[in-house]
Amino acid sequence: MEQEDVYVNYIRLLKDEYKETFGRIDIYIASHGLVVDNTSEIMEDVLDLLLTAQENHVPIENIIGKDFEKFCNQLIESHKESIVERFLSYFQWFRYIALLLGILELIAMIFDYLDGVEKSWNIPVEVGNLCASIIISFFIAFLFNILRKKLVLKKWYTPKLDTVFVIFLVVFIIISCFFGSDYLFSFILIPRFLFIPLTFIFFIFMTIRKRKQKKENHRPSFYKKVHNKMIEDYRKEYEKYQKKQENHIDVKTWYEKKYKKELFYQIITNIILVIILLGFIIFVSRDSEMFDTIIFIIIITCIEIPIFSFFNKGNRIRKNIYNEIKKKNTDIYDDSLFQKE
Amino acid sequence: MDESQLLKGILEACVLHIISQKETYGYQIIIDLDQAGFHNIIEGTLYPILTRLEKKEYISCRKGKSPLGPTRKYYSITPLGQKSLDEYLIVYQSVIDKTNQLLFK
Repeated sequence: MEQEDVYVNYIRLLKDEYKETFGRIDIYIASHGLVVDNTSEIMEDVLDLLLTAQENHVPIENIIGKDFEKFCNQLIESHKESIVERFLSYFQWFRYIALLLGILELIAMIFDYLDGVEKSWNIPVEVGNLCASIIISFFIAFLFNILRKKLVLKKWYTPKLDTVFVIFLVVFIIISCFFGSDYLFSFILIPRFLFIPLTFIFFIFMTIRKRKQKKENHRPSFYKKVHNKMIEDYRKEYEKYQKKQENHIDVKTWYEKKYKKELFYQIITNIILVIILLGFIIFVSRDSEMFDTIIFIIIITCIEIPIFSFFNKGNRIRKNIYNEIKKKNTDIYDDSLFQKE
Repeated sequence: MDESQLLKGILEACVLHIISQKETYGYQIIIDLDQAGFHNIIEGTLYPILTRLEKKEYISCRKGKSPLGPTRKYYSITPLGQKSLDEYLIVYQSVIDKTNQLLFK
């Protein structure tokens, strides 16, 4: 299989103590808060080590030694990052929030201006909530990761328990941000003419940085990842189907049926989306003047098109796979369908 | 004296020597080191060593597919790495000779 990018698919090949050790190393490395790309690269190395050891019946101790913590720390050391890099990677998650806030504030500014509000670009934006949320979530995640690193050394702390712990953390962060952010930094006010460009600059800077990192690390593109994952999923689904049905149909017919069904759902979803959009426009135009309605339609179209095109990527990939299969007159088990890195 | 400290520099040369024999990968290097008697010092030290050697451009790395499927990093020595290894062996031999002379005279 040419799916070099989806190492996650191979984890299921690990058994017993090899699988458990992989899970523990994964938790330890993840709790260190490395940049995501580096974490996957380390885990790819670990997976190869453990899979080969399992295949050759080599005890885990011969591979990672007696000191689990030391082994993990050495792995982390091999991908040392500066504090600035780690901070920036943490803020990477906020780039979409920043973009959304920037767009919303821009819309509000345009509408205020059209409603005759004087100097609508000068209206201060309360960024206290945003700052507080970032700081609270960062602080809680930091403390939590210290605890997680200690817990993973205990035998009873399994990867499943860690998942529960992570869910608890996310809920805790959301609650803390929701209740705590109102009281902190409420004095921070930034005028719109500064806030809007700042959010866009932040988004552009973070996006360029992310792309550069991807290029340097030779990470496969999102498109290739989804493409390969989709073929993997089709195979899994067909295998499940085979187990369930006694008189099962061949893979080609099954795939044909599956694709047509997906195409049908896609058309229905598109129709629903258009109806919602039209409903919105009709609802707004009922109480607004024609000029306001036109502005609203322009803004909503500008927002909807990129969102729709982003979500439509999946459908395009699905269609490409289908066309490729048809062209080659093959089925989903043809390994040449996988996209190389 | 901590044995691992003393071995740190030597280990780097050993890894470079293993890689100089033929293109190899992490697991195989660990096994080779283990068979050579470096049992208790492995514990992950290999990866920082590989990173250091790569940064110094003594070794190059390519990503390939392992027989079991997932991505595997294959390492091979560069001309700069070979030159450094040859120089190291001369210095190492000289230090060993002098040490032997002093300790076992």
